[in-house]
Amino acid sequence: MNTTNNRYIEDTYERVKSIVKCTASYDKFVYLYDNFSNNVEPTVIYSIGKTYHLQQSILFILAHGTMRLHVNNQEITLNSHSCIFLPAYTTLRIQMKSMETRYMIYRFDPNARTTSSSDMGLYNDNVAAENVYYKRMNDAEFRYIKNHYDELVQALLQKDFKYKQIFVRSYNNIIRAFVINLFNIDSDIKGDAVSRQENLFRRFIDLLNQYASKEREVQFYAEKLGITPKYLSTITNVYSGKNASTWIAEYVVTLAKQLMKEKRCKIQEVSTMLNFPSQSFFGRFFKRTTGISPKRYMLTELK
Amino acid sequence: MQQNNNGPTSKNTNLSCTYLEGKFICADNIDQGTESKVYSNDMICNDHYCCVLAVVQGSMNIVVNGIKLKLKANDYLTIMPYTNIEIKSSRCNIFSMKIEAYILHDIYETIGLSLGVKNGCYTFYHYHLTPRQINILLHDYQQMKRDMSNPSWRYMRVDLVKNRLGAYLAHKSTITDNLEPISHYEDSDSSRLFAQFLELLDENYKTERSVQYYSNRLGVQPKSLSAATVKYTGKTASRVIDEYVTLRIKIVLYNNKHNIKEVSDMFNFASQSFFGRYFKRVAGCSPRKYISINSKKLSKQSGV
Repeated sequence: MNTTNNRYIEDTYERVKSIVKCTASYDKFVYLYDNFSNNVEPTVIYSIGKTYHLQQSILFILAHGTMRLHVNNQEITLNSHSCIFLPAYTTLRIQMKSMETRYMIYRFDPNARTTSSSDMGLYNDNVAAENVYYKRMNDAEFRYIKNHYDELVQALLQKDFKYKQIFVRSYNNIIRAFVINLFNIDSDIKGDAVSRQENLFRRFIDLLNQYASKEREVQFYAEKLGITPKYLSTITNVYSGKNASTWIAEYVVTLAKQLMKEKRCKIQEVSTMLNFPSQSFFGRFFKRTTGISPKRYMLTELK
Repeated sequence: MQQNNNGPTSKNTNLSCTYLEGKFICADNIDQGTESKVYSNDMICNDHYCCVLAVVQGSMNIVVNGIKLKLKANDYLTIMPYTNIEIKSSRCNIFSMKIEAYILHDIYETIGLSLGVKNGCYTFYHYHLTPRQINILLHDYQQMKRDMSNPSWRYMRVDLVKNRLGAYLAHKSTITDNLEPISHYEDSDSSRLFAQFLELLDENYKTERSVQYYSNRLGVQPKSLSAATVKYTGKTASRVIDEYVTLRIKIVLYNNKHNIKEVSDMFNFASQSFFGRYFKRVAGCSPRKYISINSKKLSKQSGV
C-alpha cells in the first residue's frame, strides 16, 4: 500500500509549512494556522472527509462559518466563535464546511513542557482522548483567544527576539490555562517530564502509523518497543482505556474504512492491501471489530 | 478585583492595585491624568520584594540607596530586595510591580531569566528605554493585571501569572540584554567596597556569616565595611549579611524540597538548634512556623 493512502496529519504538516500563513519557529513545539489575513485556506491540513488520528493536542477556533466534525464517533456542529479542544490521540474527520469559514488552529506538542511548578497538565496524562471539549465562546473569550493568537503569530515572526522561546512557552501555557478555565477541566497538575510509559505509548502510536497495514499482532509491536505484550497493554490501558489489541484492531479498521470510502477500493483490494491472508478472514476481522460486515458498511456508507 | 491589604502597599495609595495572594502586586496610575502624584509609601520596597518601576509619562524625583535620581519618561528601574526607595516628588504616569523574591527565584530556576541582572539584593538597575520598548512592557503588564483581576479564571491563577511574568521577562530581557544599566554610584572607595562586598556575599553566603570574614577578604577593617553599608543601605554589615542569608534560607524553605535539617546543613550551621535560633532572631519566627505559613499559601495555589 502506498503511503499516500494513510497520509496522516504529521507528514502533511511538514509539506504545507510553506503554504499556510505561519508556523512556529520552534519546530515541533507550537504551530499556528489560520486563514484570516489571506484567503489561502490551509485545508490541506484537514481535508474534508479524511480521517486523522491526532498526534498532538489541538485547539480549533472557528471565527466565522459552520463546520460539522466527526470526533471519536461523535457528530459535532461548530458555529462561529466556537472552540473545540481535541486532546492527542483523538480521531477527527471534517464532514462538512460552509463557505467562507475563517478559523485558527493552535497545535501543541505534548513534549513541550516548560516550567516545573507552573506547567499545565492538559495533556494525555489527565485528559483522556475520549473526552471532547467544545463550546461557543462569548465575545470576551473569543477576543482573548484571538488576541493571543495574533500576538503569538507576531512574536514568532519577529526576528530580533532573543528570548522568543521563553515567550512562546509562556504563551503556550497561558493558552492552555485558558482552555482549562474555558472547559472547566479540573486537572491535577502533573509537572513531571514525559514519563517512560507515556513515551512508550507515543512510540506505539508511531509504530501503528508505520506498520498497521502489515502487522496486527501485539507481539510484533511489543518486540519493536522491547517490552512484553502484557506491559504494552497495561500502558495503552493507562493512557487510553483500551488494550493494545483493541487499539490495533480499531486502527486497522479505520484504515480499511478509509480505503473503502475515500479510495473506493473493493473489499478484495482492501483485504490484500492490509495484508490479510484472505477476504473471508478480513471480513470476519472487520465484523468482530465494528459489528457489521465490510459489505454492509460499503452499502450503508457509500450509497 | 481582588483587593486586600495584605500587601506591603499602604491603604492610602494613589495607585490602582491588583493583588495576587499578597505575593504579587501590580500597581499603576496609567488611567489617571498626567498630573498624578505617587507617594513614597506606594513604593516602599522592603524586605523580600523585588520591584519594577517604569515611568510612562512625566517625571519623578526619588532617592534610592541614598542616591538622588530624577526619573523621566521611558525610565525603567528594577529595585532588588532590601533596597530603600523614597519618592520626593512626582508628577507622572507609572506602572510598577512588586513580586516576592521566592516567586522570582522559582521562575529564574525554570526559565533562567530574572528581573535584575543577577538575583542580588541592596541594589537597583536603571535603564533608559525607547517609548516603543516601554509600550511593549506596558502591554505585557496590562495583560498580567487583567488576568489577575479576571473573576472567570477559576483554575491556575498563580500559574497563569507566573507565565505572564515569563512572557514579560522574555521581552524585558531581550530589551535590556543589549543595554548597560546606567551607573549612579560615584567612583569612590566606599562605593567600590560596597559593590565588592555584595559580590563576595553572593559567592559565600552559604558558608560565611561573620563580618570579620568579609572584611578580611576585602582587606579593610570591619568598621569601614560597616561604614560603607550604612552609607548605602542604612544598615550595618552584619545586618546586611543576616538579611541576605535569611532571604536565601527562606527561598529554600519556600520551595519545600528540603527538610529543616538539610537546610541547616546546606547553610553550614553547626547544629539544627543553632540554625533555628539564628533564623528566629532575623526572620522573627521559627523555620518550622515559616514553612507551615507558606505551605498554607502553597495549598491555595491551584484553588480559586
